[in-house]
Amino acid sequence: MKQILMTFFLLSTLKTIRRMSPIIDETRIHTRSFINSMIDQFGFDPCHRVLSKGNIPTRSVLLNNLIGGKLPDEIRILNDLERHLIAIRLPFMKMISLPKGGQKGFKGPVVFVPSEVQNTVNSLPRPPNKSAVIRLKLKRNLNYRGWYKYQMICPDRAHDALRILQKINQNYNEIEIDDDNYDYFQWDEHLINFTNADCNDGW
Amino acid sequence: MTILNVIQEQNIISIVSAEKNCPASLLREKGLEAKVFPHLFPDGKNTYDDNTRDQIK
Repeated sequence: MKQILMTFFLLSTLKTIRRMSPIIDETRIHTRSFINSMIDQFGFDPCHRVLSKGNIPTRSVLLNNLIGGKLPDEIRILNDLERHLIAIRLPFMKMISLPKGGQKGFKGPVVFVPSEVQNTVNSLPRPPNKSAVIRLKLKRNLNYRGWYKYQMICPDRAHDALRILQKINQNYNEIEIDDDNYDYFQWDEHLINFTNADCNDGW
Repeated sequence: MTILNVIQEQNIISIVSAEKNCPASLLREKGLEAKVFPHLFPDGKNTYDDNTRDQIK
């Protein structure tokens, strides 16, 4: 596994080197010396036959479009429960701890249940302070007393992440958020005027 | 301390986002891992079902 990862890393770096110097004809020599240095250093040969001919190996990350997209900061700062809130499908699996190394594995089938992101995120409380945190429990069933996850979350972060995902992710096209950067100082006036008008009409 | 008190006085909200929904089929649905882990697949592309994966030998 370590070798495979190292190969992917090498191939991506080689490709970038080539892209950065398209005019120079000595790219092939560069790559060859690079590979030789890697063989000296790590003791293995990353797809030497293909690369020495100047081709990209079929297993490379670039050829198969396996490079991940750029992760926006709004999604990166989310904590565990907030990531659960914005996911469209929730995975359920039986986790076990593996005998050595302290790693976790899963056993048996995995079930993916569709999650109602729009209803969930729209029904979160909106505290006046945008950086406020609330305590939230994620349960499997509302009637159960136990919970799956109990954490402090910031509702505004979830909103922000969904707004970003709506722009860049096709799966989030149908999801609509009620408020677009709400401002309670304006909303108070609006509500006061609305209630006054309503009362006057009623009387 | 005041902030902590305010937090402790709040009611705990419990949510059930996936209650009473039928499970999605692992084989029929496309791009499932991108839907499950949006923080790993922010653009929702390059999943296992993409046609570009056929080139792997």
